[in-house]
Amino acid sequence: MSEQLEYRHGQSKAVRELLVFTLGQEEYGIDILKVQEIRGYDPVTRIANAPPFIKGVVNLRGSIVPIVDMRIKFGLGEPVYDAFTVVIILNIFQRTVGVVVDGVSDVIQLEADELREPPEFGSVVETRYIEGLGTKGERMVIIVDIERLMSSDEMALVDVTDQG
Amino acid sequence: MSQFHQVFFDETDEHLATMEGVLLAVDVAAPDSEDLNAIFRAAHSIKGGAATFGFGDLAALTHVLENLLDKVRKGTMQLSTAMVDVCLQAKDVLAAMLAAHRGAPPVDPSSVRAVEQQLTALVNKDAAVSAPAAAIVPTVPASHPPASSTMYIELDHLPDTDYDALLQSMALLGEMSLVQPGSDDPAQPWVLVLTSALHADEVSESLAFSIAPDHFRITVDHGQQDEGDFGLFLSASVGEPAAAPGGDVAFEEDGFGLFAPSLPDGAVHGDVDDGFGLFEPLPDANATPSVALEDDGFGLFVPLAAAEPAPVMVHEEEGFGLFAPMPAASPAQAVPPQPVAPVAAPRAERVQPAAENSIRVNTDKVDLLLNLVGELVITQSMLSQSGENLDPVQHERLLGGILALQRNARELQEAVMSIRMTPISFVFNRFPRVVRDLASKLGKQIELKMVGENTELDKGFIEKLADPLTHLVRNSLDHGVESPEVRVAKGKSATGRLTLRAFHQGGSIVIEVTDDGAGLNRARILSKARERGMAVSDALSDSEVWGLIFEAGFSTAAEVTDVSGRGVGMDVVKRNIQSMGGRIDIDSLADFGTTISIRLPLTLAIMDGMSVRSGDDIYVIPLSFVLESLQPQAADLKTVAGKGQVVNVRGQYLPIVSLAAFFPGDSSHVTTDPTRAILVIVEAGGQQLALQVDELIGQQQFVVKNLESNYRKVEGVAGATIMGDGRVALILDISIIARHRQRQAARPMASDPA
Repeated sequence: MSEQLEYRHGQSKAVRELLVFTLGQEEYGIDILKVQEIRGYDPVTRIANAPPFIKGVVNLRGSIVPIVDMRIKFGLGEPVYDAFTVVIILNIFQRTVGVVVDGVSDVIQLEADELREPPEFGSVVETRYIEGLGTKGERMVIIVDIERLMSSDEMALVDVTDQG
Repeated sequence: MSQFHQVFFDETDEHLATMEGVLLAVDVAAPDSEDLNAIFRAAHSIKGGAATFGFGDLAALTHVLENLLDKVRKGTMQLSTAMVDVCLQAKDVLAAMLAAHRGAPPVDPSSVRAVEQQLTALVNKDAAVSAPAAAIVPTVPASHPPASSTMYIELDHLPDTDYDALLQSMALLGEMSLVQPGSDDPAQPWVLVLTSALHADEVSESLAFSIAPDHFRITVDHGQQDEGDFGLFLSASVGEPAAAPGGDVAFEEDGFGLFAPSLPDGAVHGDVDDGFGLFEPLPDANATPSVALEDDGFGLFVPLAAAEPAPVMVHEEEGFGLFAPMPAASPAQAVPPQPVAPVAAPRAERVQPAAENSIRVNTDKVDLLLNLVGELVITQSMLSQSGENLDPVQHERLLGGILALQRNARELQEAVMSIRMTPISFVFNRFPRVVRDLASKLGKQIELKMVGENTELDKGFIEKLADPLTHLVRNSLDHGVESPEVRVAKGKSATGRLTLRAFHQGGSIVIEVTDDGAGLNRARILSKARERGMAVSDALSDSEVWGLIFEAGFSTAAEVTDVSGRGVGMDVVKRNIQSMGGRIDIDSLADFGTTISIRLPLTLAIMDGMSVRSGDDIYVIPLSFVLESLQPQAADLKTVAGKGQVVNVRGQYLPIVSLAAFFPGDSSHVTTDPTRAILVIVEAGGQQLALQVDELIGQQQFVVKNLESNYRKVEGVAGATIMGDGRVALILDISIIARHRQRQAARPMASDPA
């Protein structure tokens, strides 16, 4: 109830809506507008000579979508693929990409005064891809610039020539 | 506003293309008035659009062009080759200006000025000669659709009215002719005759935009209301050509003929079958040929040579008579009657663009539709698969439904595919110009023939075909067709013939470029190959020798011209065609000519392929690359030090490339022993190799998907497709795999056994 009131109240302020997912021990938030959908993990078709965190491609209603496993990318234990594995389908730079995460928790609204500068300390995601920190009571969410992260060279998702 | 700009650009592109097409096709000696009108209309539409959207430069140049075209169309000026040339140049400049407005580099203003000056010069040159006549020579409207009526319009001459523009806008309303130009003398108003389907009220409304209502008068001529098969006989005023032009104009509301016998006794009208037609026996030597502007396909009057009195012919599309009386009364009547048929025939065949029946749709929407249908087909095949296990008696209705779904899905897919189909004329249309320009540059005489321009193929091919085809045409003109002297010496006609032909054959489209030139020179190709250090034997078959010209950097041209001969090209052509999933073949006979045929699948989006398994992965090999597949015997296998295994296929040793090694991964299920695996013999880039896979799964059509739209380019992979079970399979790029192997093989040793 109180959250809803806050939300309505916050409409006039700069509110950010974030999808929160977990990766290891940390909670990350990404801009909800970049998220197309959330699905389970379908078997992928392997792409040879791709880095190990690119699991392969799947058929998403007719388009070929690459799947990136963030758990492998950030070295968070041995990934398991079962009925509970979650894939977030992102829509960024006119492309569709799926990312595998440990779990999706919820969607939160952040008001301007709940946003903090990015910390100096390292998280598993490199600092340059972190836009800031969101605090909601006891919770702390790391806000990731998912577009920048996914288009980075290290992700090897896009050819260097057709970036931007 | 900018969203309308795109529409204007698109439309202007079309108008320019129309203009070029008609200009190239028009018979300079005897232009079809319909053609002249088409060119004029195109220019006029561009001018109107350009002025509306504020592209002043386009409008200005088109205005000059339009002036010239209008004179030609009205018959006051005779079409000449020089005029066609200048008009073509103007078209090029317009296209460049248009491109500049779309963001391309700006056009060199000097070239614009040059074209403008040439156009103006042409207009003025004519004006000097025929200005006195121009004003009073009317275009005589003849038979008309029954609905049209004739009006006499008088306009007072007002000082600041643009009568040229007014007349032009009137001309758009129907058949308009100027009887008398106005002057400041109030006794001499402008007098026009307008025959149009519009009612007089509508005409007066249009006029009222330009001129105050009390300054013009419209009189409707109800003509002869004859019911029968009568014509109107007018005695031409022999000997006083310019006298009383108004009286010479006869109108018939019912589409009957117009008779204007030059002989006072009017003896020609003896055999009027149905009264449809026009008799215009030999006009007086000074009389002006009558040109009828007909949009409705009722009658067509084509002066065969506008300068001298020509027989006027009638072409009736409804199958009425064709009357071209040739009174032999005058020695001036030298034009033989034969031209009548050839001029008339193409008109009947000409396909009228059905603009009203088409809509402009963004290709993205079509592609989306295509994707959705592809999905539907996959879902349907999934359903069919699960339905196979059901008891046909218990689930009769369900199975029947699945069957119906299958049929509907397939028909829907075909229907959606057909949206993407575009006639190949979109590619072919550029060639009359290319050939014309090149032939004059090379000093050769070329007759271009195009067959099957309406053959449809996927829109995606249209853009990709243009470059390879242009290359082939240029090659044929430059190296194939000999110069006129050489041709005559060989006993051939001086004019070379180049044929572009497109047709369907089985599931593919074949496009042929045929010339009747010198043919490929086997000895020269072989010696050139040896020069380049290729191991070739004289025993090679002709087709193998011709295949050599697709090697990179191969040119047998005696000298390099700026048209072709630098040896870049044929390999690129072949690569382009192969990337479209197509094939290219050469057939050549010395002194008889060369035919290069391109074979393409019906659509870019669907491809014939063979699915193979390598380890746990499924790959698709485009069928156009596959020669055969076999399971080798141990005796046929050899290991060459440092180069891996080769297999003996009918005496030829082919390198073995294991797909599992090319795409390394989990290799636990991969067969390493070739005798237990399958070798698929593929050919790409002129070399063959044996691709080792574990299993052949099947051969079917695959919907090709782009891997790069969401991912990046993967070496050796041309795209992806979705299998019947909804999973993705990668389509192999055989030419890349072949080249990759070549590079590897070249590293340890310099030479290549293939």
